[in-house]
Amino acid sequence: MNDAPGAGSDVAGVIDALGFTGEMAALRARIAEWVARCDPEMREAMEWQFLSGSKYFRPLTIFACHRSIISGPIPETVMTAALVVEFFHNVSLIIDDIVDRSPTRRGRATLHTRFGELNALMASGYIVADGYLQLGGDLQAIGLFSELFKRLGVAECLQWRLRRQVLGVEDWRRIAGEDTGSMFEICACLGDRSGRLRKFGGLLGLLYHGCDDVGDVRGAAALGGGGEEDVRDGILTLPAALAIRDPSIGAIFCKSEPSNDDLNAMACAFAGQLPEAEAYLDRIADEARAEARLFAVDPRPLLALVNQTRQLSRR
Amino acid sequence: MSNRSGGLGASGPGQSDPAGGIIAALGSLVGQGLSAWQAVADGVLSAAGRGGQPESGPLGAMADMAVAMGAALPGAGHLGEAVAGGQTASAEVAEMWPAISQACMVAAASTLRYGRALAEIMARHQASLMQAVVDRAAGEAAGDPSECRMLADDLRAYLREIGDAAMQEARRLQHELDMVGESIAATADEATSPPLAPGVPRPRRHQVKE
Repeated sequence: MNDAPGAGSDVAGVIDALGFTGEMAALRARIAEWVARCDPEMREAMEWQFLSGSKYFRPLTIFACHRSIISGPIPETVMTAALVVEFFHNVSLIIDDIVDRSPTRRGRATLHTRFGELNALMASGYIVADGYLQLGGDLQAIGLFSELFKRLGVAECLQWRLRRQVLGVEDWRRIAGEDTGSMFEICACLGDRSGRLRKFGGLLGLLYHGCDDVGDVRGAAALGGGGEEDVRDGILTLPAALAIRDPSIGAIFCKSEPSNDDLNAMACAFAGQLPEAEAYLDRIADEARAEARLFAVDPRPLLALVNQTRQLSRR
Repeated sequence: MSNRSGGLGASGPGQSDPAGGIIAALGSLVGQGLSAWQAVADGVLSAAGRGGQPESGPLGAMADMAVAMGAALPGAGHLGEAVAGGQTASAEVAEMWPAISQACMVAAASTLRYGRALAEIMARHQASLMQAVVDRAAGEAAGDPSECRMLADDLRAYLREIGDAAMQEARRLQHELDMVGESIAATADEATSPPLAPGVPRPRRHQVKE
């Protein structure tokens, strides 16, 4: 049932529909103020990283989860959590771009391409340190962010160790659940603070990750990634997990140095799995909606997030 | 003299050791609870039309549990004397009957829901499960590697969904019982605290999010 506002529109449309325009403006202002206060040695890199058109989908998830449990204005602790989640999300992007050797993101040079790897790595550390400082005495948030960083680190190592192996959709689900899934799980917990929406957050993250995978195969740029690196590196995406059930594709997938013909064969095979991948994503979206209806006081903000996320693979 | 090595059956209500009395009562309640739980799952819905009158059946079992709990409380009589208007502890328990009935209904509904969820999962994966059974009976692995991988994925999904269903139902039950517990606490507050001015909410230590 498509009973949420924002279905089919972009993230800005969902922000407006859920009434978070003011909160998002305040968040942008806080980020800009923080960047302006950074050490002069770091400031240019921070401006490059933070003032480049983020969609703020993770802060939006925090706000929506909070609003689905408690009505009224967004409290200061939740605003700060939204700020810090945007910090930590950017750290994960910086590290990902270095590991993936990505030259561009969101249509412009990545931080390490523009400023060098040393500066990018040091900027990451700087952001993490100041993120924890921003949290002050919010011990619950500190615990959640610590959990997030540990899980992201484990997920990245797991994903890299398991590349170029013939694994299944359930393996994809586990990896994606620890990668993007953990990020949104923590966003949900930071928003509602009771743990009731943790599972919803995990499913939303899984959906986001899967839509990203499928969108990459479609050649979509909506999520900022290209997906060619994943094919080259043998990363287990959702279309890949479906396609490598065919032994001939599985054999190509396992090659450490695939030729251009191999890459083309894989791209065709992945594209052939898009209908099944979309159907699988529909089922994840249904699971997330069911969670929202069961555990949220007002599920509408969460349903809007699910609908918005589900659209991302179709662009 | 109590037999301390006897564990839950060490001493009963009204004996000299109040802690032992409570433990004994709890031990008895656990036994009653297990049988009541089974009865609830079997047919509590048919007993729901009695309007909360605890006469027999699963709701009656819950009533016995509540009365036993009340009797096991040390100093229950003193508590009763302290209640404004001279209410007794047993009367307080009776006042909480609607909430206890509601808890019973919540538990029963949870049991039924969980059973239905398992049946749905089973139905969804029936084809794969049957295939696995047939292959095993024939003593052969699935011939086509592609089919074999699909079968493995489906069976793994089946196992995950079984676990997910249990977790989801447990979380749902916990949440619903929390709300019932909150209503019991509110009832107890009403009965044991001085009256407040009209329209003034009674302060509680915490509130379950509804």
